[in-house]
Amino acid sequence: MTPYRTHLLAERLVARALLGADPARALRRAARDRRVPRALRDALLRCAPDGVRLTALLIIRLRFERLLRGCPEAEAWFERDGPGFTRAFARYHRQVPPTAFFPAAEARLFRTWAVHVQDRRAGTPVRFTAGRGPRTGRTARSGDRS
Amino acid sequence: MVAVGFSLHPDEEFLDLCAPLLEKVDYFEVAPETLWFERDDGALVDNGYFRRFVALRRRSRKPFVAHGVGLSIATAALADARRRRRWLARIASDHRALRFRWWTDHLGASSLDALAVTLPLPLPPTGAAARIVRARLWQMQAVVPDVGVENNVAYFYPGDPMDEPAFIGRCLAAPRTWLLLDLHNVYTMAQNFGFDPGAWIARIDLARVIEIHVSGGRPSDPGWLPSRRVLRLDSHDDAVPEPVWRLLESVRPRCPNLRGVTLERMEGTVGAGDVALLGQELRRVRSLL
Repeated sequence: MTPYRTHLLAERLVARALLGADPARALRRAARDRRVPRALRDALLRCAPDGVRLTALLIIRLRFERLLRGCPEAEAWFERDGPGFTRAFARYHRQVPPTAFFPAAEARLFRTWAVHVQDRRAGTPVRFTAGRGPRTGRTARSGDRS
Repeated sequence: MVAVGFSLHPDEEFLDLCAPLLEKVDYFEVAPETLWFERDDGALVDNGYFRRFVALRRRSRKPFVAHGVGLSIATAALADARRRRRWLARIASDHRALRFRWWTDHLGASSLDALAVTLPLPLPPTGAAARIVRARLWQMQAVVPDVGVENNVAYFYPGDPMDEPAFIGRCLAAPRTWLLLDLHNVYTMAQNFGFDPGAWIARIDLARVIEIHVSGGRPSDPGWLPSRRVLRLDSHDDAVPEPVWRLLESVRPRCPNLRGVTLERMEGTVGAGDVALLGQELRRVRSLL
């Protein structure tokens, strides 16, 4: 494998691990995978498990903040039922890859996911409409810091 | 003369509270991407804060420098290439309005395999990674002539953190590519990995340092990790700690091309009572230059 392809593989392995349920275990598993070049396996073995876990938590927190900045109805849900929203957000983070770099796009991803969840189970405390703004009558706050 | 800078954030309360501090500094630092929003068609459009900062530049006649988080300098994924091109085009537009003196981003990947991890992450410090960073800096130089990387803070490192200075050196081989030396990042990593920050800095080519950052942070919550281990966070939410001041004192005279020292403080962490402390910190920075 060329050094460039090894770098690409490192990106993919680190991303998959940090966005997974057990990031430290996922990186250790990758470090034992003999299909991965030896130098990369050695590098992954150097990653301190607590640091990997903390990093994964910070990534979740940053995504959480990005969503609340862009999605007033998610913010309303969080204010009304923090634990319930946090559980829903954890499911969202597991199920939806973070392809959004800005709050408005994160909000679109979340709304689409929430509508899907609403269709399957009743009880989501805020009505979501896929790809659109809130139906709560709230004024959008500085979603993208505008 | 080395200038004193302050980082600005697109936050009404932060800007109102910190307004008296803006008189005390020589330049302002912004993260360009925090001044944009993304339209449904993917276009990156300036937000109200962008216009506010353009007006501040005109009114104050003080220069701006750009320090981003989101370009993702160490990313190679082709799936992310279109986003990076849009990013560069948008920075070029910002540069026309704000005339950045220099532009830095973190030495890491905040987009991994085209996924927004947001936090700049370390990738193995290989020759291939250094080539990717050099290529990215070359692209950045097409927009702003003086560009650079900030030594990143990482809570894990895929190698020996004491080898990072050599990696940084390999990344900064071209003319007018610089290091933004973040002393709190060095201090935080030293605390978490158990090395001597002075020894780490001794391995850096200080002639490459264009800017220094000082800031503070706090420990993580013991409940966050199953081991209950506490790590220091680079959270920019507290006073600059004394060891960071000592690092600034020792390193500043050894940076012949240093142009500015910037005090960083995160929005949402400044109360009315903190403004006096920030003023003192700015005065202390100036006294050390």
